Amino acid sequence: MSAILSMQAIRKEFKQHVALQKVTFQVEQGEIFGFLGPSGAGKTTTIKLLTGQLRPTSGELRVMGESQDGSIRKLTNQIGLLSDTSGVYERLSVYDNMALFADIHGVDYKEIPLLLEKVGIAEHAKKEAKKLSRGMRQRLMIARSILHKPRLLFLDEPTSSLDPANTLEIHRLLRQLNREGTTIFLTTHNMDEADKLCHRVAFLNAGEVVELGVPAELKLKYSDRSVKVILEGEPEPLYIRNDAEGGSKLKGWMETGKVRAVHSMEPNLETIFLNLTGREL
Amino acid sequence: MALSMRHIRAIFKKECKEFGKNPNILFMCALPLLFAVLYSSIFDENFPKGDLLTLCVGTSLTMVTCFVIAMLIAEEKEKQTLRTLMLSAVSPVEFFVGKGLFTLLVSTVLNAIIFFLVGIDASLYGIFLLLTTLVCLTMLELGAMIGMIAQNQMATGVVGMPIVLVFFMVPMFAELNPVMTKIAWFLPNYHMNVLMKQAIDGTAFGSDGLLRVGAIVLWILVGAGLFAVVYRRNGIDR
Repeated sequence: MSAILSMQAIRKEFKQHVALQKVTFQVEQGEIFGFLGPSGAGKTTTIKLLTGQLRPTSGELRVMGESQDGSIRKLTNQIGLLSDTSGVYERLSVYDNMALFADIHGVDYKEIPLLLEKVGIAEHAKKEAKKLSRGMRQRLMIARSILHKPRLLFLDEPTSSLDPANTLEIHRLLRQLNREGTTIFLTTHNMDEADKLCHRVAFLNAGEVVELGVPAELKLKYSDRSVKVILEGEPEPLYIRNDAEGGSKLKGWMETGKVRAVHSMEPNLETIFLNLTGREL
Repeated sequence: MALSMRHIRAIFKKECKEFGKNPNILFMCALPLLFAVLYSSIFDENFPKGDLLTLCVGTSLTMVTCFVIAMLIAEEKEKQTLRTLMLSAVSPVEFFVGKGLFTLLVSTVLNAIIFFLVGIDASLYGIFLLLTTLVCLTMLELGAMIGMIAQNQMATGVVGMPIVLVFFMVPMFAELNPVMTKIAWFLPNYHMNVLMKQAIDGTAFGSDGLLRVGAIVLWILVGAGLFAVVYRRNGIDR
């Protein structure tokens, strides 16, 4: 795999406020990369830098080989963006909203019904966008952001205001897009979402990347190597160390048939973030 | 800087699709037509047609040409669609040209309806079209500046109304006293009014006609300069 975007020691200041400092990471082609952090951590600033809306104070960033000297804006035909501040033309129908961006990108109108079908809003094509539910509107914005088949898709909190059913649908859609070859850069403060969707994640806190890796590996790295055992006749679970002493205890219980369940105790991403930063999401 | 006709056409087409569904814009467009019908029926035949025409066209230029583009720009900011457009490879210039062409088309159609409603000799339409188009350009620049400064559609009224009132009222009362006439000399639509009245009265363009056209053209150039300053200071979407 090769890097489709990279940040090297990026710093971004707004007057007295330092939004990002020494942010370094790279995203490989074809992966879903999660950029995680609480509100105000610098996630949206990072997306704005990567999409050419802002320029870094110092450091070097590259997107598809283009640097931050304004040339990233040339990549608009290869980049899709769905941000939490994206809007739709409420008086236009779903179809006309798509048609506008098909005109802008030079995409054949034949693609529109196929795409609306793909995101599950084909039956609402003639409906005015203002009459759509929040979930439907989000799907329309996703459809619009992938209309021109971007190689790289930026999603800023794509499910932040959706109910669980719509969230699951969006996740299904994002996985499908990724399987079809789209690299996805996703910001979220929903650790569960990141765990389910992302190949790799970076934790951002107060403008700094404090950890980066594959979710499963991070969970093992920050595991306290304990195991939860539920025994027959014991009202409370027991916690044993995952070592020789714990192993022999477990062996004894298993030989006597007392073990009802054994659970490994890796922390979830939220706990890891809390341990690393002392902050909750 | 290369302009994409495809992008301009897309913005223009979108505005045409939304036109009939936008009550704010429809109301603004209806105002000068209502005035034209109203004034034509309440003023008798002795009332100078030139005054009637310039009164109604003055409403159209300020309330439609200037305000419509301001509202269209402010609405894009308010509804957060502007950034999406900017990130879809539409440049600010393409955005302004697309909106401007639509507003110019609407204004031209309205002005033509007013021209014929008031009952001006059709042979003067050519000169009328030329003069109103030139002044429309100044109003578009002014409206685009108001749209850039205002954060939402409501704010276009707060930001724009004082400016627009000057452009509407001063030429209307320019002949009432010399001070107003002097102030009116600095406004492009005043010169349009004078030239149009001269054309209707059959005095053709007076000796100062060229100077007045020059003043309108100068306004277009100064307006473009001011627009560039406001754009640099404010940006399109900050």
